[in-house]
Amino acid sequence: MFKRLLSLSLAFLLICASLAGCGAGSESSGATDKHQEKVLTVASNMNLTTMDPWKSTSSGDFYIFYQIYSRLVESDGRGKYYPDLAESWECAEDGRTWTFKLTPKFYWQRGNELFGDELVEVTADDVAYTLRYIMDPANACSRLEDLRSVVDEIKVVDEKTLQIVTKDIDVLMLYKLAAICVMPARAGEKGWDLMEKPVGSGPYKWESNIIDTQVVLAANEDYFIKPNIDKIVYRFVTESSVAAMALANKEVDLITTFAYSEMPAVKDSDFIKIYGGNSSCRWMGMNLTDELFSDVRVRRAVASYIDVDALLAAAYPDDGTGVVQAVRAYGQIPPENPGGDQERAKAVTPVYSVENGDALMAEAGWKKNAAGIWEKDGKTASFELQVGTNDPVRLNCSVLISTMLNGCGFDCTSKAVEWGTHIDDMDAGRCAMFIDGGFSGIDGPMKVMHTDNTGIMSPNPGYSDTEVDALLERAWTTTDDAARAELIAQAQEKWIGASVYVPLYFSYNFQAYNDRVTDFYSNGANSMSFALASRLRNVDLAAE
Amino acid sequence: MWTYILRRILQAIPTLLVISFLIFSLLYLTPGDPVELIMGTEDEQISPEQRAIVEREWGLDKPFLIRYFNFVFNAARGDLGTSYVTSKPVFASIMERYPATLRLAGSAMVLALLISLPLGITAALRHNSIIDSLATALATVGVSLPKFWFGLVLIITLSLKLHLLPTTATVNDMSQGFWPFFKAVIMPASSLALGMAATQTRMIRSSMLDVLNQDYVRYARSKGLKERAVIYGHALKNALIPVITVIGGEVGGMMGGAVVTESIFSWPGIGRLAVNSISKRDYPTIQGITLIMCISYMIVNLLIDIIYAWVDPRIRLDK
Repeated sequence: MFKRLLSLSLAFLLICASLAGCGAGSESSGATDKHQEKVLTVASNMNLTTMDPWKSTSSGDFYIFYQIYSRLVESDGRGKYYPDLAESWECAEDGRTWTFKLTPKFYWQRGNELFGDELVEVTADDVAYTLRYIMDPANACSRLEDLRSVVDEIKVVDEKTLQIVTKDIDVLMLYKLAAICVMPARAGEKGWDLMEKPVGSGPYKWESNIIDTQVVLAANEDYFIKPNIDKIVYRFVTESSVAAMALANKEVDLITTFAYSEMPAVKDSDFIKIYGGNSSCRWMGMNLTDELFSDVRVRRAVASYIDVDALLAAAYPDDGTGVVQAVRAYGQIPPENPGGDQERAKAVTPVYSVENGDALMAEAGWKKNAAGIWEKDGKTASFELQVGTNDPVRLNCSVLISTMLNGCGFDCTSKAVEWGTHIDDMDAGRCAMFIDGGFSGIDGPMKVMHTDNTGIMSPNPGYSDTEVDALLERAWTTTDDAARAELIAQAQEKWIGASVYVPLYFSYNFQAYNDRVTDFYSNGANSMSFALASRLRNVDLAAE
Repeated sequence: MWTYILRRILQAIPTLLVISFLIFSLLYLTPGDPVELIMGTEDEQISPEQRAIVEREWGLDKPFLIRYFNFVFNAARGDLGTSYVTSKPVFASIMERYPATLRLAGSAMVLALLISLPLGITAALRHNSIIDSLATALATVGVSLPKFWFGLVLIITLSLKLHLLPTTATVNDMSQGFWPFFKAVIMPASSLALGMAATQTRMIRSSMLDVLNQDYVRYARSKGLKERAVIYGHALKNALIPVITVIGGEVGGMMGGAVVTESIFSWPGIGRLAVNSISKRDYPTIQGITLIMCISYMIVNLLIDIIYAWVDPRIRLDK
C-alpha cells in the first residue's frame, strides 16, 4: 500500500514537473542583472489587458504603450501639451485646420522582422494611416472613434507635415490626439500583427511578456535621445499591500498607483518617496427629479448642513507623515484644470450654517414634526444616501453625511451597494442622493454640467440650465485658452449656485518610488501618462 | 470501468446544463451595461447608433433564451465567448493560465501530503501522547488561520524581514530551472497547503485510529506480522478511503484557482484572472471561469471514484 501511495505521489510530482515546463507565457524576461545594466522595475496594479493601444481602455496598459509608441503630442490631461512626434503645431485662424510639423530623425524601432536593421523615419503618412485606421468603423476602435465625427480631412502636405481639418472648431483636438499611439503604415501593408509584436517609435522596445506576471521593455537605441534606463520591467502586482512590501524590500523601484492605506508599510523606509498628483473630485449629488430635491432651497439647505471641513478631517486624519491626501473642493473642476478657480467657486458655495439651513427649509415650507423630522404636506424628508463599495473613504463620508443630516432634521440612511449597481442606479436616476467622483479630465465640465449629458451618462440626473449650456458651448468653440477658462469658470459658478452637487474634496493619486529613481517628476511630466524618456524628462537610476 | 466512466460523463450533461443556465441567468441579471463595458466608456456618452452597432456585433440585441442557447452551443464547441475587456477568446485566456494554477495546486497538494501523512499516522500510532496533542493543536491552528493572513505573514517574514524569497512570483514554471520555480512557488504553495494539511492530518489521524481497532488489524498483529507491515500494508490502505474524499474536494476546489492566494502572490493562474474579471465586470470571462471550475470539479470527482477502486479492490465501479 505504501508503495502505491509513494508511486501515486511520484506520479503527481512528475505531472507537476512536466506541467512546469510546458506552460504558456513561459518566455524568459532575459538578462535583467542590475549589476550590468540599469533596470527599472515598476509595480503596476493593473495586468496588461491587451497589447492593442487603439482598443485598450485600461490606463495600466497605457503606462506601457506610451513607452513603446510615440504620439503627436504628450498631454498632462489638464490642458497642457508637449511636443512628442510633432515638434510644433498650429491651429489656423478658422480654428479648424491643424498643422503638425514632425520631428526630424524620429525612427521606427529596429531589430524586429518588420523593419529589420533598416533605419526608417516616421513620416506624416504613418500618422495619417493611424488616424484613418482608427476612424474606420471596421477596426472597432470604440474609444477613439469619435474622431470620425470630428475630423473632416487628413492631408499629408509633405513627408514631415500633416494637416488635420476638423468639421467644426474642436478645442479638445490635441487632448484627443495625445491618446493616439502612432503605428507604422508598413505594418498595415505587410499585415504585421502589432498586437502580437508591438513596433513603435517610442523610447523603449517591446522585449518579452510573461502573462499576468511581467512585461520587459528595452531601450530603443535609435531614439532621438538616449534613454538612461536600459530596461523597464513592469511587474503586475495587483495586491496593494504586497506592492508596498516589494517597494520597501527594494524588489521594485516604483509603484504606479500607490494605495495610501499602505503608508504604514513604507513610512519607516526613508528611501521611499511618495508623490500625489492629478486630483479628482468627490462629491455628494442630489437627484433633481426627486420631489424633495427639486426645490433649490432644500438643496441649498442640505449644502448648509454639511460641515465639509469636519468631514474631510474625519475622512483623512493627520497620520503624521505630512503627505496631503486630499484637499477641500469648492467646485467640481480640479484647481489645475482650465476654469478650476477654487476661490471663485468658494464665493458662491453655501457656508456651513445650521441656522441658514433651517431658514431655507422653513422658507421652502417645511416644518419639523414631533419626531424632529422635516415634514411638508404630510410627507417627511426621508431618503437614502447611496454610495458604491469601491472606496472606503467614500463609504466613511456617506456615514458621516447621513449622521450630519439626521442631526438636522432629515431621515437619511446611508446605503452601500456594489459599484456596478451604483453606476446603474445613478444613470437611471434611481438614487435620491449619492456619492460619486471623477470626470476630472478637461472634458469633465461638459460631461457633468451640460444638459445633453444629464441623466444619460453624467451622474447628475435632472439638472438642466440653458445658461450653463450656452456658456459651455461657447467655451468649447473658443480657441483662446484664457477666454475658454473664463467661460468654464462662469458655468461652474452658476452650477454651484444651483447646489446640484455638494463638492467634498479633491483626492490625489499617489505614486511611490525609491529615491534612486531620478528625474521622475520634472518639467510638468508629473504623471504616468508620459514616456519615461522624452523631451521633458529622462528617468534614471542612481547607484545605490 | 469504461461503462462506468461513460455513464458518469452522460450523467454530467444535465448537471452542466443546469449550472450553465444558473451562471448565464445570474450574470444576465447583474447590473451593468455590457455596451459601456465593451466600449470602455463608463464616463462617456454613447450614441444610439454606436450602441446598436455594438449590440449587433456582440449579439446583445438577441432575446435572453437565444443568447443562452448560443452560449451553450458555442461552449460545447469550446468557444466560451469573447472577453469584454481584452477582446480575446475566453477559452484561450483560461487555458493560458490553467497550467500555472495546476502547478500551484500540485505543489500545494504534495506539500500538504508531505506534512499530513507522517503527522496524521504518528498522531494515531501514539494516541494520547504529546505528539498526538501537538499534531491536533497544529491541525486546529492550521484550519483556523485565514489563507490571506498566513500568506501576508509569510511575505513579511521570509521576504521583508529575512530577505530569503521574493514577495511576488516572477516565474511560474521551470523554464529558468528548478530553484527559481521553487523560490516562486514555495510561499503560495505553503499558504495553500497549511489549511489542507491540517484537515488531512485530522482526517488521517481519526481514520487510522478507527482502523487500528479493527479485528483484521488485530489478526494481522497476532499472525506475527511486523508492525510496519501492519500499519502500511493493512491499516493505512483502509484508512485512506475517507481521506481521499477530502483530498478530492480540495483538489477540485483548487482547480478553479486559488483566488486569494494567487492574488496575494501575483501568481498568474485562473484565480487571479477571476478576480481581475470580476473587478472589471468582464462577464464572459467570469462565466467561462465558473463553467470550467464546475467541469474541473466534476472531473476530479470522477477521478476520485476511480482511485477508490484502485485503493480498495472491494469497490467495483461497474456493479
